[in-house]
Amino acid sequence: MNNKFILKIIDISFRLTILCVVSAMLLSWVYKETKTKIEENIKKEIETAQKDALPGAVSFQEKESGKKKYVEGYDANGNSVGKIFVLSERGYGSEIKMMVGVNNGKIVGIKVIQHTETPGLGDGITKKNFLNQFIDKSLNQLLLKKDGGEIEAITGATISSKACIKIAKEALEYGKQSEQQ
Amino acid sequence: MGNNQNNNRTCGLKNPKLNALFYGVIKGNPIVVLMIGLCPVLAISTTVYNAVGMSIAVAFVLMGSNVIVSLLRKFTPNQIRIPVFIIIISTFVTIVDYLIKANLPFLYKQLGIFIPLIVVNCVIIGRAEAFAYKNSVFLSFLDAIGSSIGFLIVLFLIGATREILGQGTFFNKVIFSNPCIVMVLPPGGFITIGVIMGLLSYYNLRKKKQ
Amino acid sequence: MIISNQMNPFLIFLSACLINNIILIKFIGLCSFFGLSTNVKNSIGMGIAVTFVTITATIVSWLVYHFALVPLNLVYLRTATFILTIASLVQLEEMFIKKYLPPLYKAMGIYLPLITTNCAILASTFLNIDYNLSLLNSIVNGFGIASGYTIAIIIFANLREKILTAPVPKSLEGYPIAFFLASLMSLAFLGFKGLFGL
Repeated sequence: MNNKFILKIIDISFRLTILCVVSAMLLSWVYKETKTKIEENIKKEIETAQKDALPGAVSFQEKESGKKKYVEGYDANGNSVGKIFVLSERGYGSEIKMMVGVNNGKIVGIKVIQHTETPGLGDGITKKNFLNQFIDKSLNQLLLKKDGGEIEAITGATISSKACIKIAKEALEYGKQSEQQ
Repeated sequence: MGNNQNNNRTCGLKNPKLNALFYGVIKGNPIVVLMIGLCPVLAISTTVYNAVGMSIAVAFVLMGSNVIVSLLRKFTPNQIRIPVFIIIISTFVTIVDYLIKANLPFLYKQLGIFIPLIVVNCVIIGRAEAFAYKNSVFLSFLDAIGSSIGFLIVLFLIGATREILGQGTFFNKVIFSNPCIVMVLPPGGFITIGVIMGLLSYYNLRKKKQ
Repeated sequence: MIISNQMNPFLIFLSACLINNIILIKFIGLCSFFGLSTNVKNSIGMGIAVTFVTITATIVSWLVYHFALVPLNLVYLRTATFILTIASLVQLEEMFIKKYLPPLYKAMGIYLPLITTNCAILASTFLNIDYNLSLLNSIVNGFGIASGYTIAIIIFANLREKILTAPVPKSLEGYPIAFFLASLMSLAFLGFKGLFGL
């Protein structure tokens, strides 16, 4: 009886081990095959966002100013077309992460890369007609219309809109700081 | 659990192959009849694109797992069948996870944590236990197709309702503005399923009366 | 705020329990939620079982991930590893409790096998990794998720018991009305958004 029991346990363990090993080998193969494609996707996504934030830039270089990391964009002739800052701010229901391109004290490009604001209300911050308001604005123009500035908030999503304005302002500040170095 | 008026796993057709195929679509529809596999249904169905994407992922895992479980049914002693199911299912889920991550990055961002959660989706373990462990490979494959179609239909309906009413778009093409936003939020999901089940229940009651 | 290690553990708990309630806001763990909430006693037992398993599973899976999977470059095995961890833990815990803590077994033992496929527990292990939490914060997060689950299921069971005596239209009896109830609860919990800046 005891022998039979031990044999049974060995049999079960053996089968389970084979299954685990086969499965692990299969998964390791799938992982290797998809690894490069996944890394490419991530790189492409970042590059597209950077190109959106600095229109006209073809190459990018990571730099640091003080403690703030940023990316400097260059056009085909090697001239700098501006700097990109990635900043986050608390919105209504989530953290809003944006990529802002600044040049000469003005915003040249702006893009939302991460958020979970309320669908239908706060998520209007990703729409072109809201973000385009930021282009070509300088520090003192970045206020809500009702506060004397030129940005129209999204109806029903004032907090989300204000968060975006805060981020844009911060980016301009950092841009100014980095130029002074 | 569920309105199981029919405990045999058949839908009355003579041919066992057609039986296996069509059971999952209506009579044994995983979501509304058997009430399993609910987890992704409400979270993913905010747009039709997500709903269809999720259904295809589930279909892939379901077909793979049903076929392999059935192939290995002689190799699997009864005591360890649950761990074996889990290993097989999680292998397919990981494969789907990495395939989507590599080829459909947008869908991957939308589905997020729900792809690994397919592993505990009761539909897959349920069908493996109830059917694939006891039937031939081909029948199990048909059963997987049937259940996947049933899953897809319900998910599509819910996704379409929530997207059209909640965002005014269909597959991201705008249909009308001024949508009712609550539909894409959690409460809207519950309401949609409640309505669908209510309609089904109404239909069943009327059938009984006749 | 996105949950991170910088957050106060109390806020992590609140976020996991109320503001991002795993059932009513995140929609994870619904199978057992609707299946078992027909009476309050079952729900309490289920809640205790889920809490117990979540905390142990969180600890073990965090350790396995950070000390085995990451160093050995086997991150792609995490789905399989986590679910197998949970399944094994549940088995071991059932045997242990049956033998050494019979009163506890009477309260929640029968729900233990059902929890293996409970999405909420697997989700909590994944969320801890995704948010990059330390071990202590993971435990707090896991406990928060389980508490949120327990609160939701107990309230829901009470509601469902009450509604048995209410005049519900015939076609809505059972599950349809339960879903409508859940939608109202979910609306209520949405109101927690923004609490303490979360």
